Amino acid sequence: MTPVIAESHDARDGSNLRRRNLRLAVILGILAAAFYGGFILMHWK
Amino acid sequence: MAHAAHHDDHAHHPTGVMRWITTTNNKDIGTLYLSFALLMFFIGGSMAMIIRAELFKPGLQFVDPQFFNSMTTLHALVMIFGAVMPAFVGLANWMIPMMIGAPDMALPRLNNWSFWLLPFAFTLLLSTLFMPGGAPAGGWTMYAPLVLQTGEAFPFLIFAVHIMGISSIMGAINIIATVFNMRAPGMTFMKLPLFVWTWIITAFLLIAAMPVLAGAVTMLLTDKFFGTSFFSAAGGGDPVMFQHIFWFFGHPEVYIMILPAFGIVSAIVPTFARKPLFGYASMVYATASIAFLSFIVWAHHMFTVGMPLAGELFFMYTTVLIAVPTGVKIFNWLATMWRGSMTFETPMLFALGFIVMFTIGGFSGLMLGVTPADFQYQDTYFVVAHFHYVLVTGAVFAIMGATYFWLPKWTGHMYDETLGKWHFWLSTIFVNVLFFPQHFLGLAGMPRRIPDYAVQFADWNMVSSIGGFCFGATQLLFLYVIVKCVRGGAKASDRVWEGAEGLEWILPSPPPYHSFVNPPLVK
Repeated sequence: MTPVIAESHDARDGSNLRRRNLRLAVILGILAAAFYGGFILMHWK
Repeated sequence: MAHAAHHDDHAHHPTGVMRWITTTNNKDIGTLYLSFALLMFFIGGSMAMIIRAELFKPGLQFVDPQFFNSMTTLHALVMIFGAVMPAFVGLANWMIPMMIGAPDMALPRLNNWSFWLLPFAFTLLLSTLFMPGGAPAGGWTMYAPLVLQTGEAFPFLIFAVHIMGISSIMGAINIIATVFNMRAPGMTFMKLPLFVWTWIITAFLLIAAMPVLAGAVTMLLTDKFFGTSFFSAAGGGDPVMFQHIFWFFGHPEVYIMILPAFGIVSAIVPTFARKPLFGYASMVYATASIAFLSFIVWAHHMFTVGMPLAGELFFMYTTVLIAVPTGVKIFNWLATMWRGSMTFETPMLFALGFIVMFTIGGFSGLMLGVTPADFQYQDTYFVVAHFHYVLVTGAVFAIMGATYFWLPKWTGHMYDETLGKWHFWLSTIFVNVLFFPQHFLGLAGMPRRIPDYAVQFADWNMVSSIGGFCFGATQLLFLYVIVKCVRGGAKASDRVWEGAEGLEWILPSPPPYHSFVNPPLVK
């Protein structure tokens, strides 16, 4: 099924909402991964 | 609106099972989350019934101690990760896009994946009941080195927790992206409904806390199978470090399970008091303060483990400090009701029950936060009473209130008000019969996580078990009311409640498949 959100909101303000959403998701995902890896490395024995 | 309805008519999607498996629609996924949470609520509840049956009287009655310990462990994991958290994510899926004037979540495919990981995670977890050595029995806290004694179930537990964590993190990312990028024009942050605010803050807590849990259980996995010594003193590691890492996740987790409940109560109380929420901005700041404080209180779970006096004082003071922003919230709800034109429909009853009984849980939390007193209460039934007041009469009551509040919007039908009120009153009476005596048991010294106990604890345990069975049976009424409402009933109006305010109430009941395809202008 095709999600409807991106094109409708792109049309609203002219910006590429799909890209903005993805960019934010990637940043937050990297943050979460950094916490995960950081905690393990911090306690490495 | 006309455009939205028009678009909805042309929404083409698969039917039958494939609709639910492939859906990227926030309302469908919200329904999936809520249905899953309800199923888990009954599975976790069945485990609680086994626990209370075993504790009905002293001596071993029905199950062996190993299985009893598996029940306490799985009951917690199922209720926390399977019932409460998915229920809140389901409510977020249904309500946040409608509340901010968006047509869907920002990342719909990710949304689908977030949900569909959960059934796999819980299949892994519950399948351990049928494994040699039995299900995990070391408690939901999975303390090392005890949990490393788990049999074949161990890797299943670890992978299940990983998958639940990934699901939660993806759900949180989606909510943040949705609120940050998809608000309707004019919907500034300080105009967001409190439910949305509490969820944004919860989502940041999830992103910060869940990777820590994932890291902790990864370390358990490598200690068990790959020769590392994170938590093994023999290899230079530290078993107490597991507890620090776990509770660095675990305390924010407590607030992950209660902040959205604050948002729900902040939606219900103004509606039925017919007044705007008192102190909106202070509610936002109080929520953020609670979230911040939740990261610097973790060791209050470990006072008896041993730490420097300065550490005990620090964690005691920060813990007690949480009472300040929480008190702000309670004050604001009471001030909202002050001189309001109040009516007491079922959602309002649950919200009022929440305020009173969550506060009881908050007060017993303060008692536990006082270090010298905690030395007495640690690992007793007083702790069990405390966190069940916070999580059952707190989080679960808020979820039930939210269900009654928004069910007419979701289904287009009014629920049976009489049965709803019966559900509230029976639940409130029996939940107190169930959990209040556990304060007495704890203060008298009854330890938690035991299948047998000294005869001096017999009377209150019997009372508690009777309360438990009746509370459990009452929830079948909840199920009946929901099913009856989904299947039909009096037509719900768009606004549903006379005092309801917000974008979600200007949509038809039920709302179109994709609401706000043309974003509304918020003034």
